[in-house]
Order: sequence, then structure tokens, then C-alpha cells
Amino acid sequence: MKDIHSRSVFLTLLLILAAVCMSVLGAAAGEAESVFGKAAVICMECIGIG
Amino acid sequence: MAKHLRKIIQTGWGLLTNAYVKGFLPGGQTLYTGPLKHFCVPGMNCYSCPGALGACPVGALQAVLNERHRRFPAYVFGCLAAVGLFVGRFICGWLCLFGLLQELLYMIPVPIPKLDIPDKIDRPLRRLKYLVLSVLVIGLPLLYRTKYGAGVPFFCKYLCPVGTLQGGVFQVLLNDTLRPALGWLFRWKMLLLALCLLSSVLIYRPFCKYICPLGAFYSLFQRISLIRIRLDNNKCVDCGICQRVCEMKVDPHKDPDSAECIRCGECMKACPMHALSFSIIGKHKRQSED
Ligand code: SF4
Ligand code: SF4
Repeated sequence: MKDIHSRSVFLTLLLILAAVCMSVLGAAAGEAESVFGKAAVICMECIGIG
Repeated sequence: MAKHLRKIIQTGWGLLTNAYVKGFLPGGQTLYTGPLKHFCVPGMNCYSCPGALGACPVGALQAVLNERHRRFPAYVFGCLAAVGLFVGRFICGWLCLFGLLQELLYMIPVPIPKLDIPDKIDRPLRRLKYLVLSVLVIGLPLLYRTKYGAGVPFFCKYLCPVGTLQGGVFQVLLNDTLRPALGWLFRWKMLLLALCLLSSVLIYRPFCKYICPLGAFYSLFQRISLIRIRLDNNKCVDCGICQRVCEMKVDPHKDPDSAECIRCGECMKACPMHALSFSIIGKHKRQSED
């Protein structure tokens, strides 16, 4: 039981690491800039203008 | 103090992530444009809110999917998955301003009983949020292009009450230049916002239960997240109090990893045997019975 449990914690930690790497790679590919480009100006769709 | 810890954290986080005071000054029409806007906050928080210091994760996801050169949204997806894998829907219970707002509205006393949606309606409705996530946040923003080649953030544009409240209402109040441009879309979104806020007085967190795509996304990680709710079966006496206090209609002593649990901890406070707790040891009754 303990084994299964520590294996699942290990797997989750591994997945977290993979997710962090993915976001770092995405940011390095310029995606964070795209997010900034959208977030730094008033979004007309969000506020309901169009 | 400890009794209100969650409300204090929810409020503090909401204020902290919307602390750009200059944005609230009339006529300014300024948003915060510093480096923090590269990062997504973990809960629903419109980036067009005059005070917002970070980006909304659901808006950010659609913005990347809307780009002309389609690409996998690795940055936003990775950030959200990391948060979900770490704490699951704990974010909903502790760090989402719109969740807090709905909770506060539900605390308003009304002369009629609060609504208890029957299971056979409630259960199918809860699946709606997965449809919103897959169609309005991912599918259509990825596939649809206008004749000018632009993508459309369908969820933000046609549904999101968070954007209408934090962005729309504030921006329209603060900037008279925006007012002449208001049309049917704004009225539609205001109607949805009003419905959402009014129903929150009678139903506990209706947006979170039925619509929120972010809650839907985090819920996918509930069963494997690092931090989970642990039931100590040596202490549990099967009294069912935890189930009765849960406003999300979860039975934590049967399913502590339920996709609907927002990890608010109210069941833990109510348990007379202190059998429930947060733990990175996701062990629970059924497993330890084996
Ligand atoms: S379900 Fe959505 S709106 Fe509700 S608390 Fe979670 S992220 Fe916020
Ligand atoms: S099961 Fe407990 S922690 Fe989860 S939503 Fe219900 S009361 Fe909150």
C-alpha cells in the first residue's frame, strides 16, 4: 500500500516537473509575450463591446 | 480569526492581485502594463479589470489559441497544469475572487429557503462546465477564424460574467469614451452577469458548479494532485456531518477526491472527530481498508 502511495506521489511530482518545463519552453517560444500583448490593453470582447 | 481565515485569504488575494489603484482613477483608461502581466493568476480574474496586476488564465489560453499561426499553448497550459497537479481545486476555495463574491452573495439572508437543486438536475448541469471548457475556451477559439483571419475568444466574448463585472462595468463607469460603443453584446453580457449574481443569492456558487471552465480544468487533477483531503478511517465514525455541511454537495468521507470539491475545508472544521485533513498523503479510507 505504502509503495503504491509513494509511487503516485512520485508520478505527480514528475508530472508537475513536466508541466513546469512545458511552461518554460512555451514562454521561451514567445507565448508569454502573446499573453502580455492581450493582457496589457483593454480587451473589447471581455468588457462586452466586441 | 482562524474561523474566518479562508475569507481573509480570499479577500487579501483578491485585493493583492487587483492592486493597481491608478487604474481606478476616473478617465485614466489605463491598465497596468508592467512585467507581472506576463503571468497568469491562478483564479478567474479579468485582465481588463482596472486594478488587475496579472493575466486571466482562461483569457490567456484563448488569446494564444486565437493567434494566426496556431500553436499548442504550452506556457498557459503548463502553468495551469502545474497548479492543478499541485493543489487541484484548492484555488477555487481559497484564491478566486469570483468564488468569494458568490459566497458573499449566498450569505445574504432571504425570506425564502435557499435553493437545493434536485440531484437529477444538478448532476447533468455540473457537466456543462466541461462543455464550456472544451467548446468555448478551446475548440472554437482554436478552429474558428473571421474573414479577416482573426480568432475569437468565445468564452470571454459571449459568456464570461467575470469580465463583464471586473472589466466591463468598471471600464464603462470610468471611461465615458467607451459608452457610445455599447450595444447588444454588452446588454447580453450584463443580463448573464445579473442572472449569475442573483442566482448566487439562492444557490451556492452556481457559476463554479455549472459554468466555470477553470474549475473544470483544475477538477481534472483532483485525483492525482499532490495536496488532497485525507480521511483517517480510524477516527471516522460515519456520522455524515461532513456531507451535510458541504455546500458543494460532496460527500468527503466517501469521495474526498471528488471533482466537485473546492477544498474549502468546511467539512474538516465540522468533523467532530477531526478525521479529515489536508495532506500530501492522498491516502483515504478505501485505500487503507485494502
Ligand atoms: S470554479 Fe471558477 S469561478 Fe469558481 S472559484 Fe473556481 S476558478 Fe473561480
Ligand atoms: S468536501 Fe469539504 S473541502 Fe470539499 S467542498 Fe465540501 S466542505 Fe469543502
